[in-house]
Amino acid sequence: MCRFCLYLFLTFSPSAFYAQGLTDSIVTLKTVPVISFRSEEYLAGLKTESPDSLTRVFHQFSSMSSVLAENNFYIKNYGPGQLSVLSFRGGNAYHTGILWNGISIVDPMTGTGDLSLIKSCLFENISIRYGGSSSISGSGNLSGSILLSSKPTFNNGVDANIGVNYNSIGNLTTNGKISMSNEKASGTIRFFRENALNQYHYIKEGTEYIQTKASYLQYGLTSENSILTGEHSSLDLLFWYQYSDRNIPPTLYQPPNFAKQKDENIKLGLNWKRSGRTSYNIRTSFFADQLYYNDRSLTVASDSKANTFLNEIEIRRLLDRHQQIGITINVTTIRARTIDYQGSRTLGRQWLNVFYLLSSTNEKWKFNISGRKEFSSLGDLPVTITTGVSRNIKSSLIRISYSKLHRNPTLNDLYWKPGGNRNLKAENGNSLEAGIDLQISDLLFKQNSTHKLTLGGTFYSRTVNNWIEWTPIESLWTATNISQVWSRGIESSLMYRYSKNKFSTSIRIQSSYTLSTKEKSILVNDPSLHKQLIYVPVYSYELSWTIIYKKIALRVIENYSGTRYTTSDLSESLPSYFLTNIHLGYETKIYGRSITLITSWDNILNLDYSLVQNRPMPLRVFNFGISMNILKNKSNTIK
Amino acid sequence: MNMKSKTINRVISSLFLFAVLFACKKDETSSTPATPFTATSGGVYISNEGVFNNGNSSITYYSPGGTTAPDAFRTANGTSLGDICQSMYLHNDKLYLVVNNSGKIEVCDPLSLKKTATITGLTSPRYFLPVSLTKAYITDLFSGFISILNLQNNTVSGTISLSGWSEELIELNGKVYVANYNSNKIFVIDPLTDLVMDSIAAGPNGLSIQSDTNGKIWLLCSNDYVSQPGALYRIDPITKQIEFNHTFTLSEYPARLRKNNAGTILYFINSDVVKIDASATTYPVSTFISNNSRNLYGLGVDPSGIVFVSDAFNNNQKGKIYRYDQNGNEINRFDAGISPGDFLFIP
Repeated sequence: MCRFCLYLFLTFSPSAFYAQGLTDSIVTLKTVPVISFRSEEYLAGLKTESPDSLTRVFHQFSSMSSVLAENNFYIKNYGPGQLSVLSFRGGNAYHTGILWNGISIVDPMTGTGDLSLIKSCLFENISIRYGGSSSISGSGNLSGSILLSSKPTFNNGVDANIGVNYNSIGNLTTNGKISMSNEKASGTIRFFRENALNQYHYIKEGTEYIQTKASYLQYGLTSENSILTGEHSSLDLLFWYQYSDRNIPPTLYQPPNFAKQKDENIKLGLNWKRSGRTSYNIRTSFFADQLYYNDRSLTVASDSKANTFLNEIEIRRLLDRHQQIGITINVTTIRARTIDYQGSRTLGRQWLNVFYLLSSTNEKWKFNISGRKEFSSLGDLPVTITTGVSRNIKSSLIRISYSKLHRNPTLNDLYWKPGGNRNLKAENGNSLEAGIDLQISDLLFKQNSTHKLTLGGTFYSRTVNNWIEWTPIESLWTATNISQVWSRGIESSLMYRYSKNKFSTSIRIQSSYTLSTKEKSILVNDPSLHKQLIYVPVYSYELSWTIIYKKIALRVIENYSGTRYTTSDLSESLPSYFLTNIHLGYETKIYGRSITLITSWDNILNLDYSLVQNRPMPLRVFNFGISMNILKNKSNTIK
Repeated sequence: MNMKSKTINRVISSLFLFAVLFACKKDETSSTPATPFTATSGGVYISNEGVFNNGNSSITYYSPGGTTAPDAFRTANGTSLGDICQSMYLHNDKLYLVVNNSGKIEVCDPLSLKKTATITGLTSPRYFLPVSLTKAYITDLFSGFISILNLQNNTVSGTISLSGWSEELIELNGKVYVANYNSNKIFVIDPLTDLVMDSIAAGPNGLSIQSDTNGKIWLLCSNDYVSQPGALYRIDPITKQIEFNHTFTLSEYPARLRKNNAGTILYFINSDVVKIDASATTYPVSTFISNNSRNLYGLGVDPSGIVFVSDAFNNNQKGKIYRYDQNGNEINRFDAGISPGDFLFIP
């Protein structure tokens, strides 16, 4: 009944706010611009989104896991602060790329990135690119990518922000940002520390318990420094350090196992860029990733270390105002060591990417094509391509894209003992998508109207051959090329916004319909053939309603996820759920210093739900945070 | 509010309503109806491991009449069995269900499957072997020791240290022989003193062990998936000499060594089901049951010689059981739970 009332409220609430005639908003909902790096701006046909600025404010103390979970992405989350991975469009976590300033930062050993370890406050820009783009972003980017970046700003003086957040399950988070810049140099440090008791309430077989085995400590910082070395050139030094020490709680049916995981990551990058008719970008990077895991089951703790060395040269040439070509050469060496590999393993990769961009004289047409050839110490890989075209027609944008994809097996797939399989083939496939974005309000209302209505829709289809799964072969789990998987679906979005004077309200619906089925199998009479993959909901949507009045902002978000099957024959499943979160923010000034207060009620309806079987998520959690600018007359936006 | 705004507002409201209704579509889920049962002589319990960490282990009961009772433990007790039921053992009119990733053993009535006790305090239990009416050993995947169980009060009364992963174990001539994955030995334990009294050199990665009608020990060693191929040994426990051995290739993954009631024939899975005579001097050149692109996973031989084989598909969905006569002809097939691994034949 309560949920039904909420629906009615959400459904008919726009009428109520029309009648009030309120004034303009202070906090705008503009989209954070996508930063350009490498040739990603040339993906004309692919859908790219960014969390709006209010999302960034409300989630300034959160991990990327929370940011994305509220934006209609299905996150496979093992619990707060625990492993959290993103699956796009019916793919699995291995098919999601995570790029930091254009460089892949997924773990080279597992092929995945843990979103609970990535704090949103460490990056100025976050965007999500849908669809496969192996030829641009490299192996593994079969279903989508998360792009993290920051852009140096010059001549902005000194700025400093600090914030603190505490929640009802005992998690204390602090973060901050310090930046200094003049005409020639810019430096920014962003940092955070989270000390989490993480004693959340959960339900097991109808009884409420308190989790006591999930505490963790995380801290980290990023430092981005840039010096202008000439009128059109700059040298950037990038650094990211992060540490995490967390207890891993047992599943509902495991005895206490006292499992513990420590992650320590160092990322260092040096870029020199020169822009002009011919532009150059030369970069070198070094990543050191360490993962230590221990539990009652191990006589010797698992201590994995991976070092990645990357060198890259990118050259672009403007042929004329509407044509551009480019070439990128990359040499990467990964050296990984763990007792489970019985020593160290070295993997060398070299790849060459070329691209061509064409736009019409009136900029209404855009076309891109890029190709990539990779050479690996595992053997040659096929050429991959990505091509797309977009067309502006009045107030609409139509886009079409095609990609030929591949994903190398991870080091664990190949070398983990027992079960690693050196005979694995790389996954390969094709991806096609088409979409349209309509600014309906431009058609219905006069210019500068207080109404804004946008509608978007995307259809996609992706086939992946040689899909890699870990499956038991005569009792021992091993990595196997087991099947062909076909994923297809429709994504739609609708956003309406009304703003007048200091008042604005907006409602957004994002929905997705995803079918991801196994079409071929190496097993005969496989009952899972043509059935939905596990942990891929067919239906999901996110509904958000935002009101901004003067300096107060309120947002109610409801996420729906359909049934997620947990067995391949669909005989077992996690039930569908409606999850409701509420955020409230207020911005003010005290002694000339900008201060933002934020509160949120996560899972306000106290829903018992799980994103991974036997890993219950928390019941209601209340958060309270405050952030302020230390200096007078500076805006307070910790991003 | 002008007419145009009203129209837009109505459109939005309608779309919201549509979205809500669309999202409320009932998801299609399948469920298995509870089937009451009472086990009888000649019936078979099949332990289905389930998916690791999903807590969906189950027991399928197959009656002599050919009917099945899926998820019989939940039917009898109303709760989940736990995570990864690895093996079963019938002893002293009690059925012991070893639930590996839940670190426990459920003690049940063998006919109703009603739970009577739970043995906890185990790390990663694998196989159960009673050595007297009141004492049993339980091997372990991770702990590095065998646990000694007091069957009178269902507690762990002690441990016997071994190297790493200990798996199947048998009793022969008053001694207990334990297959061990992390050494190239079979460990010999005196059940009276609970001390390791000896060891027999064999191949590494030993997992499956049986004794035959001639009093010999058979050990099946696994492929380590990297560089060490699997192997099959027949060993004289008195002289500790290897009488027969066969080394597999690195692309073969032998497992589940089982025997017929008389101990004259041994069976195991090596992609196909292989049958070997207890007195064989050469490795058989033909297979007994071809896998036909199935993922053959569990194996059992009932007292009459009928061979039960499970197809686990990808181990993430319900498996299928095939029954074969002694000539390898299929008798029938039926459905089981996820990853059917062990068979217990009710005498």
